[in-house]
Amino acid sequence: MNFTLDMSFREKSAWASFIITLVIFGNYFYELSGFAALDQQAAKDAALSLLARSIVAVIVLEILIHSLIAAMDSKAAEAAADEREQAIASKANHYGYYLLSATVLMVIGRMLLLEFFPERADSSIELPMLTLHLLMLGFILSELLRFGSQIWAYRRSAL
Amino acid sequence: MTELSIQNRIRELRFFANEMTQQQLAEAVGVTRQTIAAIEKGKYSPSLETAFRIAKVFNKPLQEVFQYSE
Repeated sequence: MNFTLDMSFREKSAWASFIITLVIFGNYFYELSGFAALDQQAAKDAALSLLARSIVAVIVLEILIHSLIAAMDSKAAEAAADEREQAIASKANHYGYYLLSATVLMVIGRMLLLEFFPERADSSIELPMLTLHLLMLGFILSELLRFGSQIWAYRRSAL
Repeated sequence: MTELSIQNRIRELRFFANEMTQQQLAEAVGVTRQTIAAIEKGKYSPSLETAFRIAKVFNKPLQEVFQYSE
């Protein structure tokens, strides 16, 4: 099967970023859900530590895996994106932007609602820094959508 | 709904150009091999500039390489 061999450098890069983001931040949100049982300060410390570890892990893995992909085909890695790759990236960026914007607007709406109607706060979610986590969730989902859209477009035109 | 499409003779022209590979054509045009494959299969419509570059590689007028049909 030439499924993997038929991928351009940028498609491989999109796959790598999608998988890294999914694994690292999937684990981030899974661990985060367990922090609700801790007291406020402990949950805050644990969440910040988890966030820092996740960001470092993503940076290290992105550098390592992209270096490996680039080493396999240095010529392609050095070449600028062609018009089809630019069009795919542009469309994927649009999708990611819409989701990120929607998340930010929803978080702003929630903040305004709680400012004027504090009694409406959902007491079942005891996680400290909830706004930060909601924004992170929106950001990660928009990144997954961005990489996923790129992969979908590459596969669609390859098959 | 009317379906618009652009057909091409790139595969045939590559064959007659001494079995030119997709990679060779891609390098001559300045795109990736995957983009040439996508154009050849009709999965991607190239820009006018890339279409002209492809035609130039085969030394053919544009309309002999790409055909537009409704």
